Amino acid sequence: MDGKLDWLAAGLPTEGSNAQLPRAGTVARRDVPTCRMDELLGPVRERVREAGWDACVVVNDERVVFGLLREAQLERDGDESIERVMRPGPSTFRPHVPIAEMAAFMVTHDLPSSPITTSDGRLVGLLRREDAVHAAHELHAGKEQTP
Amino acid sequence: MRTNDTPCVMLVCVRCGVGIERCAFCERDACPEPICAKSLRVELRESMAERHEQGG
Amino acid sequence: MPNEIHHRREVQALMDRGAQIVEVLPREQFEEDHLPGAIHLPLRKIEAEARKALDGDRPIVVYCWDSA
Repeated sequence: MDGKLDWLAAGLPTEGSNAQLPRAGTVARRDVPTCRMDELLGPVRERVREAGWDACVVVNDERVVFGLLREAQLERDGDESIERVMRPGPSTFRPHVPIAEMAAFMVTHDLPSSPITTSDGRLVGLLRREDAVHAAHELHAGKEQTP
Repeated sequence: MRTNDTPCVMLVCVRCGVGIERCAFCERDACPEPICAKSLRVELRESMAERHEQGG
Repeated sequence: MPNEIHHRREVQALMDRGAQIVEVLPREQFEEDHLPGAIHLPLRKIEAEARKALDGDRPIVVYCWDSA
């Protein structure tokens, strides 16, 4: 088979010491708003705001990620199409990446959020920096308490 | 506007020292700790630092 | 007769039918993460220990880190 990496990258369950640890895929928010490229920004922005979010992931019918809308993109003219305003081809990361590593990178690189996708490019959720940092902190605190 | 005489400022991967145009993690060309795609894959456990016998 | 399998869905189907799953990576990597129910047989020991550790009458799937 394509190997353990492919299995992990697909977000499939594993056994072992890492299996129960928080990873990018388990901490990512699955309720992130999504939209299609052929929609107009105005209605999407309204939907995103009503849901209490400041980001939206652009996907197709199979939840393959095509782009990302952050604050700067959401502020654009509401009559523009999503395809025109979105940040195309955002950096995405796999579900199995350990949360401590992700948190460290997101802080160092000042990345507010990142889509987490399977190796097929399908959206698992949006990992927010504050969630990653919180989970990494909890993990570290838990390890310190373990004798 | 960039001309042929304008030098291209290359970043240097903080892990392996290779020259890169932008950080593979945040995609910025002004990143304070730029990392190349190969090093990023190792750091994020998507690749192994060293191949062991028979590959894989 | 060994066959090459390239997709995890095939592996999942074989697992559902009782295949033995074998990881050949070093022990440390196996202990961090392995496929559910996988048996650890590092590559350098596979010839010596496979007959003892595995049931020759059931399908056996062997995997490494990636397809390289």
